[in-house]
Amino acid sequence: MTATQDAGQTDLGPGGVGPTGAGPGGPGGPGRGEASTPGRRRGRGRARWRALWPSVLLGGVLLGAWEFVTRVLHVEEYILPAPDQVATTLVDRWDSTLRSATWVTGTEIVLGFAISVAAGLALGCALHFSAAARRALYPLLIGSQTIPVVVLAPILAIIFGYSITPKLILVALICFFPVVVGTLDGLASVDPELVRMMRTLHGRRVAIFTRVEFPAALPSVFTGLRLAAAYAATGAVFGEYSGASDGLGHVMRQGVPQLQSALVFAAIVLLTAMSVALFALVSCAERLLVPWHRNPTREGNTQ
Amino acid sequence: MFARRSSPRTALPSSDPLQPVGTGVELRGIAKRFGDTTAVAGADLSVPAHSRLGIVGPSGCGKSTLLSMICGLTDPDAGAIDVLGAADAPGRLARCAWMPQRDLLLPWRGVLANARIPLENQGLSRREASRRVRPLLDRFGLAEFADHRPAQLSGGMRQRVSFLRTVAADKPVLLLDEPFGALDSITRADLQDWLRAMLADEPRTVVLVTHDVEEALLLCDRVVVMSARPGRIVASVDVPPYAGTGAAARRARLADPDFIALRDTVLAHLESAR
Repeated sequence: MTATQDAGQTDLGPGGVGPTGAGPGGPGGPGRGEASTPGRRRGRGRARWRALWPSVLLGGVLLGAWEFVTRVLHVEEYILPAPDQVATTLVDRWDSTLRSATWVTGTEIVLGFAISVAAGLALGCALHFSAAARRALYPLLIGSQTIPVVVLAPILAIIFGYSITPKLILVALICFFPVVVGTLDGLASVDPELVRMMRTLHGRRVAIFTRVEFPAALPSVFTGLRLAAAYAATGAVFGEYSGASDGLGHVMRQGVPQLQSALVFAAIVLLTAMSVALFALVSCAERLLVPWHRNPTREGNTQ
Repeated sequence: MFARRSSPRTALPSSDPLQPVGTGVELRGIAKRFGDTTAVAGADLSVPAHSRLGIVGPSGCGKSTLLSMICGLTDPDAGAIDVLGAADAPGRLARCAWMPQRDLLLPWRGVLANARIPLENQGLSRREASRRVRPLLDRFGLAEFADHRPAQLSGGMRQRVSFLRTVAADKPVLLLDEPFGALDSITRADLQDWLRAMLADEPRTVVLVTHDVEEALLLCDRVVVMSARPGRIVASVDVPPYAGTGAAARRARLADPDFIALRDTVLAHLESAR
């Protein structure tokens, strides 16, 4: 470095035009680069609303139709509760039942998701570094995904009882796979030219991984994370169905035989809200960590 | 400075111990196969330190393979390569900087952060690396774009950032693989002038691979022609240096009858090499 730098300093003597003296501002000088404007952020917010309003409108129309049909056809509440009945139940049962159930299920989802992300990232990176481990573990990993969660849930309940453990295991098992696959695929599809370039720029294995491979894999990692976020609630509910003393899955399992359909629907609404929140959180993190990547689904209907 | 620039070939040798005068890059009997195809067959080349060699040839003649072998990214199947006294791949890798046609900038890093990567890789802190690279940004005309992402830059500017990063690695040997091939002709001419001035200021051992005969003749002091696969060196032409820098000097050079004759010679070699 010092040779280059010293030369650079001495060469730029008085009147020195420097090697960029080919023209004003050098070749391809200012003006050719496309600069970001401050107004773009506001425009992006409007664009997001423009992308969002069709789904909001459609949701409203569906809710209205549902309300209309149940009222006009006098559908019994236990068969199909109207949206306003679900809303009323949501408020009425919040303190007695739903608040603690939401808290329990939310904890399972968040903790299970966190475990699966940590384990999935670690395993994905480990498999990337060792071809032998990849060959040994990858088929097993895929095989593990063919075991139906419905079967697994009761077994885990037998082993671990009503505690939070079987739920965490189920959520982690379901979320784990997309994270591993996303990480592994992302690392495997890094441009090999980038790696070669790093090798010629004094890059050692670890530097190449932290500065090129992992950042380049992030978009794919986040695809896995978004899938995992969408699946997490399913795992928690399966776990609670197989044995729990509290939680939204438990509320649903109690509510169905008692024909408390409005309560079941209220639990579904809360579960959906939590899934959407987790999904939005992951998308937010993606926007913060991978701002350079243009994700086609982001402009579309995902939020 | 201007005196040195007008006669780049008589530039005084640097006192840098990494750049011993005389020995540069030596290739003896290099061969490389990929499966059944022979990419390079028996290439012999000698590039003295601080001289600039251009390699032209039809596409697929193994020019790029030759560069990867010189810089130690791959090893030849036969023959020996010596780069400033280093014959092993890690030694060559430590002495050669490689710049491919694509800029290969990291889209998540700004201009400054991309340029300082070689220094970060050598264990410097980000702050220290930035401090050392900043003067180079000025010289490359990129100072006001230090925080721009590659996506916000034009192709010519991206290529300059890429070259800046290569220079920041501070290697004595520069291997340029079609560095301006992806650019429009005006930007390419600008960058050729700029690279020529840059190398006159700071002589390095350069191997330039290109399919553009004029580019090779403008930038190098010797040009060799490679044949179509299997690639071997079929002709070598010495290029007398020309005075001056900038677009006017380049245009005068391009109109020079001697230069035209030289270009026709190389083109004739190229056509018979196909």
